[in-house]
Amino acid sequence: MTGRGGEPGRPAPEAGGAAAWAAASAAGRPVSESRAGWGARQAGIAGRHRYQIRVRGRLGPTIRSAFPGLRARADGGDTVLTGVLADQAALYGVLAEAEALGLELLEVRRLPPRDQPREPSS
Amino acid sequence: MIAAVAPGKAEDDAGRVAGVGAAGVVARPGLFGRLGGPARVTVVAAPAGSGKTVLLRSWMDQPGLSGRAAWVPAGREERDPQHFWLAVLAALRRTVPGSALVAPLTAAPDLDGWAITERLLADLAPLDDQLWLVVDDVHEQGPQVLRQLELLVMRAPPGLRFVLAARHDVRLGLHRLRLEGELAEIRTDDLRFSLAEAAELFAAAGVELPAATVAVLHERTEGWAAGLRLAALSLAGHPDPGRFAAEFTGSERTVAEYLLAEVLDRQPEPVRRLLLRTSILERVNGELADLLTGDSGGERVLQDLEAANAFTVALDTSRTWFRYHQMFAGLLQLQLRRTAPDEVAGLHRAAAGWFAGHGYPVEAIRHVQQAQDWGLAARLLADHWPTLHLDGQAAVIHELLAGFPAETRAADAELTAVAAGDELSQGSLEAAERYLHLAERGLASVREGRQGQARLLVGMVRLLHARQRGNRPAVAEEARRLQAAAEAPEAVRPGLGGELRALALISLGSTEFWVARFAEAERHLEQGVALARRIGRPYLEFTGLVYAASLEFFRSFALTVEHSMQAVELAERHGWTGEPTTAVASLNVGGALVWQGRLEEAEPWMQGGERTLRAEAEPAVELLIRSIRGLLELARGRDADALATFQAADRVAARLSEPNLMVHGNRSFLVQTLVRLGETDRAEQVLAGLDDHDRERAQMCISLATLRLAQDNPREAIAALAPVLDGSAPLPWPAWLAQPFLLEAIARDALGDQIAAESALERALDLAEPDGVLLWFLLHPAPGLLERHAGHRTAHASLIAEVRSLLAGTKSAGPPAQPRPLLEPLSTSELRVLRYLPTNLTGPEIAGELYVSHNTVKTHLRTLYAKLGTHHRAETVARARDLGLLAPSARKLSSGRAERPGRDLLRELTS
Repeated sequence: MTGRGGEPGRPAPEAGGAAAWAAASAAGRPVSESRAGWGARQAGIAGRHRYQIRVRGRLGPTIRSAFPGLRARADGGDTVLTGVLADQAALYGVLAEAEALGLELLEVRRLPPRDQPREPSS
Repeated sequence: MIAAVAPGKAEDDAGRVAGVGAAGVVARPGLFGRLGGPARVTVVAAPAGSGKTVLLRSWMDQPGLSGRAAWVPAGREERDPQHFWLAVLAALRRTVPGSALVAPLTAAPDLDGWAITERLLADLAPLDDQLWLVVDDVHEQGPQVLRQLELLVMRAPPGLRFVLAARHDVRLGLHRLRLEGELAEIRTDDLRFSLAEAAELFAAAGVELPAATVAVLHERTEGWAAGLRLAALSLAGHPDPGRFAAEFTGSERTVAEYLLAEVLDRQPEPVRRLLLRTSILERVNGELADLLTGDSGGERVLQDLEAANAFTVALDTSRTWFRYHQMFAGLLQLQLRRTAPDEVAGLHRAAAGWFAGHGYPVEAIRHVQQAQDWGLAARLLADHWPTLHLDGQAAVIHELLAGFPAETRAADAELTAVAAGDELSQGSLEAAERYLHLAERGLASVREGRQGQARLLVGMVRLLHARQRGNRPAVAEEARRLQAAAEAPEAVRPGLGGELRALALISLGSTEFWVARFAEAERHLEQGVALARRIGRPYLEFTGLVYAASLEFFRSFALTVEHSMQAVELAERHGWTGEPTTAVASLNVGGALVWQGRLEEAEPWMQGGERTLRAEAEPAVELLIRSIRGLLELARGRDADALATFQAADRVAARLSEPNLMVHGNRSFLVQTLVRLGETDRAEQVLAGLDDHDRERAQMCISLATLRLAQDNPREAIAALAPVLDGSAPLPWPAWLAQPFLLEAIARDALGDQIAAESALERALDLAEPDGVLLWFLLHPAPGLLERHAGHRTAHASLIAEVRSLLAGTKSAGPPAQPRPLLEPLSTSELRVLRYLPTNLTGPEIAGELYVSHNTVKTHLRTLYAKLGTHHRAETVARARDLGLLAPSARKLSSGRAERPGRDLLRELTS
């Protein structure tokens, strides 16, 4: 993981960050940092990383079962899916699944190794 | 309150869909107006469930549009490029203007999407009406189809309108259209239902709600079409809509998930069971539904679901096949997997059995794969590979192969052979070789009953591999091995194997033709054609007929013409007119007509062959085309053109690796043309440059004779002809022998020996008569001799009369009426660049479309200009249109939309 994505808590200036900014502000939400843009491309396509994907609405058990590798956590009116994905192909697979189910995507970010949340015990 | 509940409600509603009668689609005049507006292209881009498909279908149902809108659905099959274009053609042919303009096309191996696009442009060029092409789920298409679609959009006639629906924006280069004001967009926010529309939707669904409740539901769903429709389904017959709305609003669950649970809860058990269990299917009918549920009456439930607009669409007019809305099916599948995970594999297996038994192998294989029964899936794929291959479903084969775990793919000999074939068609030769190696090793472990078939399959792929590598000795060797496998009795299993065997026989026969093993070729083609006809495989029949007709060229013109024309007719019925094999048939006919002196009749056949010629073609085909074209020009008296063509053919001959009948014939005509042009010194040089063996060949003796006659030396002409006439220097087929006898007659006449002259002439006429070969009498006109001979005893008075009238006609041959053919064929990549020239893309933009560098495009352009003899872009486009390489211009017909003319790439070339 490179640290090119900008300081935590501040919008990242790169293209990927801008897209997240646009998506987030369109949904009327505060913008959080995105590290999944330019920096990710610099780091290379391969490799497992921990990702966090925020979608609008509370996901029930049926839709949650579409993302077996990810942990779902309710956060306000949203759901945050977190988990390790093998590579970019796996990430795009998750995004395609979300698209197929008509979910509203709010944010995608790659978590830096050091401030990863603790492993869920489950 | 519930209004307008289904009539069945009172009698028996135990198993019926709740909400029947809830049909009704809201007319959306504002959006309809934009769809039918002035923009040539409308993009409808919005997420799943936004109501794109319902909007488009209800718009197309308007009376003004009936018969003018072609609907291309996005089933899984249409993701295959060839199938996508076949679906486009079929949809266009169902419209009123399209049925008159668009020619039919039958699936065949290796049909090229680019060529189909070009031919569609040619078919639609005269379109003077408005016609809409509506393509759903464009985002499902791969980059190749998208680029072809984009080319179609850029070059389409002004009357052709496009409506393209997608879940997300796709790379279609549409920004250019936006700049030109030709693009309209309907996006997520435009598709949201207004409050009034939401009220209308509930009313149309037979749900009467207080205005306040409608407002609450509208707010909670944010006007999202799928949400409103699910709400309407839940509310049909609901005792307390107010409470429903309040609970819905109070829930934080996503709209779709919450409402789907509500809808399912409200259905009777049999309907719920049907929905969940059939959600694993791409498409469903009543019989399949009953099979998966163990109930009966599935068809009625499906029809009710469709009538209720419950995310179920009928696929046919008789309403027997249905498909669920993708998002709806996805949610149902998740629910099924969560609530009954143990049943899923069994359902897939049952579905597979049904599809396999009803002749839908692809769906059967997909379901067997889902059930993870790899052995069965592999056997099914191997059994059906010939069918899929012949139907041109290379992309489907590729996708099915990708559905197997890697270790299965490498362990099953038949599957490995299929994988090798797949690598040949769209992968690497090295990978194909590796798979073939594995397949050979695995053959021993194939079980008894399948051995013969497996060997035939491996043999077929090996032959294709050798052909693709262009290794002639290996091709001959593989052909021999395949012959043994094809003739083995165990190669045919009852009910199966017929297609594989026919495919093997035809591939074998055509290969043997090219390597000049005519006797074997004839036998295999004859068997192959008969078998193909019996099992109803017109593409194989067509290919076999063409090569069988080519063999007859050396024996009987009447037969070669008859059989080639039959083959061409078959090709025309199926739309295979651009196929290289069709070109071979055209050449058979064109060649026979040239030899018969029917020059103007030959012209269109020759052009048909020349048009499909590519730089990558078999050199033998190119040699044949050039040589016959040269003869045609020579017979017309255009000696300089003929010379250039024979010279081009001679250069091709140098690329041949095996002996070819045409090489010496062509060189002989080259010398004869030099003689006619008065270039006797150069003719001498060519002959002197040959080695002794070649100089003594019959064809070269003939050319020497014409040279000596031109030098007023008839005695040496007679000496040169002697070995040909006494048979010591043989000619490849009898009709050719008429030429040396005619020259002998002319030489004897020059010496004043009239008796010998007339006897030689009578012999020449004897030889020419059966096939009506008049070419020699045009090339070596001897009107006086013929006139005198006609007055004596001859068996060929009418033939002489024909020659004399022909000679009288050709005297006045005017300037070339047709565009002169290319001296060097275009390569596939040059042709691809050429197809972009009628658009207004710049060089760098074309490079971007083709994923190549600008320098590559510049190189191709330079070559294109050189080959077409043009100097700038507009001229190149015009000449390519004259030659039939590009569809005729449609825009010329309309006023405002002329192509950008002086957009000259030469400037860019030098930049």
